[in-house]
Amino acid sequence: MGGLHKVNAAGEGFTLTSLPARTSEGNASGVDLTLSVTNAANPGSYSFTWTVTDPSGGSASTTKPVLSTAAAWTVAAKYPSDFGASLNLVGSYDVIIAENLPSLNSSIATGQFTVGLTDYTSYQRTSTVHVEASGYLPADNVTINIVYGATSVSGYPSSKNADPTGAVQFSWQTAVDSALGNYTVSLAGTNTVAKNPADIQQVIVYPTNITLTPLRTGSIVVQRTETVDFWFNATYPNGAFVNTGSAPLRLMEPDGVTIHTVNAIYDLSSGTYHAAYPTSLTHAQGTWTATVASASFTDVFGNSGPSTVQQTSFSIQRATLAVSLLSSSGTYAQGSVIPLYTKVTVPGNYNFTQGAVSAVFISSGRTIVGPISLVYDQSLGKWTGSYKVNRVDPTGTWVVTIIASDNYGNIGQGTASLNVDTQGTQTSADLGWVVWLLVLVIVGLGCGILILRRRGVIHREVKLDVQAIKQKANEVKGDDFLQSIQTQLKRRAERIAAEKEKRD
Amino acid sequence: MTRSIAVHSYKGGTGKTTITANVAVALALKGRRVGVMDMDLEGPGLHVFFDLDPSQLRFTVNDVLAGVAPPEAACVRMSEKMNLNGGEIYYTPASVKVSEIMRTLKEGFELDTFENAIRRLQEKFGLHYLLIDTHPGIQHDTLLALGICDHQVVISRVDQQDIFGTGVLVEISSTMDKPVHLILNMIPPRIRESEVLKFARTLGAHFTVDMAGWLPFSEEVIGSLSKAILTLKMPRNPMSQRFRGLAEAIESFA
Repeated sequence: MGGLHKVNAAGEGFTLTSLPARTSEGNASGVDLTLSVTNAANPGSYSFTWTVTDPSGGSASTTKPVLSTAAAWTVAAKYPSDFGASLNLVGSYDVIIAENLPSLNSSIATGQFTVGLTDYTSYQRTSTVHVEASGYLPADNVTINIVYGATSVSGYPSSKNADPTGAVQFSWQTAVDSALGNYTVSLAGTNTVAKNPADIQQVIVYPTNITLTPLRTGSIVVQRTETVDFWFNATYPNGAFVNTGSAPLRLMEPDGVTIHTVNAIYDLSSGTYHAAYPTSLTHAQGTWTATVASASFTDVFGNSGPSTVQQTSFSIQRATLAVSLLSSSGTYAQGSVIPLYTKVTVPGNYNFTQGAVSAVFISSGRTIVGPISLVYDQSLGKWTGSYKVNRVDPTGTWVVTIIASDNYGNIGQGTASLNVDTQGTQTSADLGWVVWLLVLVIVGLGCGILILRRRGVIHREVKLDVQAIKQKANEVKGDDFLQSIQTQLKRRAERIAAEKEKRD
Repeated sequence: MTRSIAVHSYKGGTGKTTITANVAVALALKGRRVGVMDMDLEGPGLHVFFDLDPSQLRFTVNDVLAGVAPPEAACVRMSEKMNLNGGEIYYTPASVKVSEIMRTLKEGFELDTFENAIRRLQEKFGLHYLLIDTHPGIQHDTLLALGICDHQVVISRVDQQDIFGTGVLVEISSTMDKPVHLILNMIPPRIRESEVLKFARTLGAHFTVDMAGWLPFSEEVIGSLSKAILTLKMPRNPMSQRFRGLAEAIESFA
C-alpha cells in the first residue's frame, strides 16, 4: 500500500510502501515498510527512524542509516522483527518516518497497514475461512466464536489450546447455503490478559459462483417434430454437484432474431440438468443456437452461474413424413370404389393432421388419375379418400402413390399396388397429362407474378431515414423536460445504490 | 424476481393495449402471476378487454398516484373470472371519469409514488411480470414510467410516420439504460416474413433495440372490437399462437 509522498526542502522525494497492506496476526513474514527516496544527495549520509503505533496506542521504533551512492534508492524496515514488537493485535497500525540526517524532519512519510484474524475479509460460499491469532499464553484455552446476527454458527463457540508460541489457528468451512452478509469472528483466552483491542473481526460471505459443464445436445441434427434434448452439469467451487434450481435456455432461430425459451431442471435419474425442446412442423430450418446466459443459472440458495455464456448449436431439418396406405390392396372391378385409408405420421411419432395429402394412380408408367385430395378424419386418425374405377381405366396392376406435404416444406410419400380388372384405353390418361401440365403452368405463372408483386414492399413503401431520426432524437434529448427526467432517474439510481450499500 | 415491462408506442392505434392484454393472458395461462397496470391515463382501454367498468370500482390507479389509496386496493384479481388455469392476473385499471383524468393530468405524479406502487404490487402478489400499458407518445410522465421499468417494449406499425417516431422513441428510451424491445404489428398480408425480419435487422443495426416479434394484420383481432382477448377466447386461432410466441419472447428477456 503506497503511503504519503512528500518532498522536503532539499528536494528529495519520499514515499512509504507497506507490503502486505493487510495481514493476519502472527504472520511470521511480517510487514515490509519500504521508504523510496528520489533526488537524493550522492554521495551523502542519511538516517531515518520508523515509528509504528499499534491499535492499542503503543508504539515502537527502529532507526536505519543509509550511505547514499545514487540519486534514487530504497531502505526498508520489517515490522515487527526490526522493532522488537509483535503482531498480536487486530486493527490499524500507523507508520511515520522521521529523517535524522542530513536534516531533521519529524515526518517525511506516513503510511498504514491493517492486521486481522482471517486471511481475507470477504469470502464466497464454499470457501474456507482461515483464522490465525497470536499473543496468547502457551497452551492457554482459547474460546473461538463465529456469530451471524445474534446467533453463533453451527459448531461454535468452541475452544482450542494455543500452541507453545501462543498462536491459535483454525478454519471454518462455509457452505453453499451459509447465510449471506456479515459474520463476527472472535477469540478470547482463559488465562491470557484480555487483549486491547480484543480479537474481533468481521468477514462478509457472498453467494458463490456455479460452474457449468459445456452444454450438450442429444442430437446435432433433428427433423421437425422431434425433441431436442440438452444436458449440462453444474458444480460449486468446492467440486460438489448442484442439484437445485434451474436455468433458462435461450434457443435462437436461424434468423438470429426469434428467441424461444426452455427451462433446464435437475434430472434425478441422470444426475444432470436437462431441458427438452419439442420442435414443430413450422419451426425454421437451419442452424439454431442454444445459450445459457451468464449468471442465468440460480440455485435455491441464490448462488448463480455460469460466469461466461454456454452455447451450442443444432440443426433443424424439414420433416420426412411417414406415409402408409392401409387396406387398398385387392382386386377392383369396373364401378367398384377403391378406398384410400392413409396414416401419415411425423418424425415425432404423432399424426400429421394439417396440410395436403393426395393420391395418384399410375399404371405402366402413366397416370390414370390424380392427384386425388384426401381429407383427415379425426375419428379414425387417418386421411381418407376414394376412387371409383371407370370403364375407360386400364386393366392391370396399378400403383398408388400418396404424397403428404404442407406449406412449410415437410413432405413424405408412400406407395402400394393393386389389381384392377376392367377394360380401358390410354387416351384419357394422355389427355390427363396434358390437362395437369396446363394447370401446373398456370399455377406457376400465378405464383411468379405474386412473388414479383410482394418483393420489397416495405423497402419500397417505407423509407428508414436513420440520419433524420437521430437528428430529431438529439433535439428531444436536449430539451429541458428530458434532462429533468434523466436527473430524477439518476437521483433514484443513486438512492437505490446507497440503500443497497447500507444494507450490505 | 418480478420483471416490470412498459408497453409503449409512439403513435396511438398500434395495438399496444391489445398486445398487453393478450400477452398477459398468455403468460398467465403458463402459470405465471402477472400484474397489468393501465397507465394510459389519458385514454384508458384495458378495462374493455377485461370486461370491467372502472367507474364501479372504489379505487383506480389515479387514486394510487394521487396518494389516496394503496396500490393493492386498486388492484382487481381477474383469475377466477377469466378461468386462467393456475395463473393469475392482477389488473390495476385507470379511471374513466373525465374529472379524475383531468385531475391526474393536471397534478401529474411523483416518481417515488409510482415506484412504490410497482414495488408494493410486486411484493404483495409475488408477481412474475408486471405489464404497464402506457400512453403513446413522448411525454414527461410516460418517460418517467419507462425509466422505472426493467424493460421497454415498443410497438410499431410499418408505416412511414410510425417508423420515424418509433426510431426517435427508441433513441430516447435507450438513454435510460434499460433494454428496449420492438414488436412490429399489423404487418400487411402482402409482406413476407423474411422481409419483416430483414427490416427488423436493419432497425437493429442502426438503433439499440431487440426484435421481440411481429404480428400480421388480423381480421379477427380487428373484428373483436377490443372486447375479447383472443388468446383466451380462441386459443387455437393463429393469432393466439402469435401472442403466445410474444409471451415466450418476454420470458426470455435477460
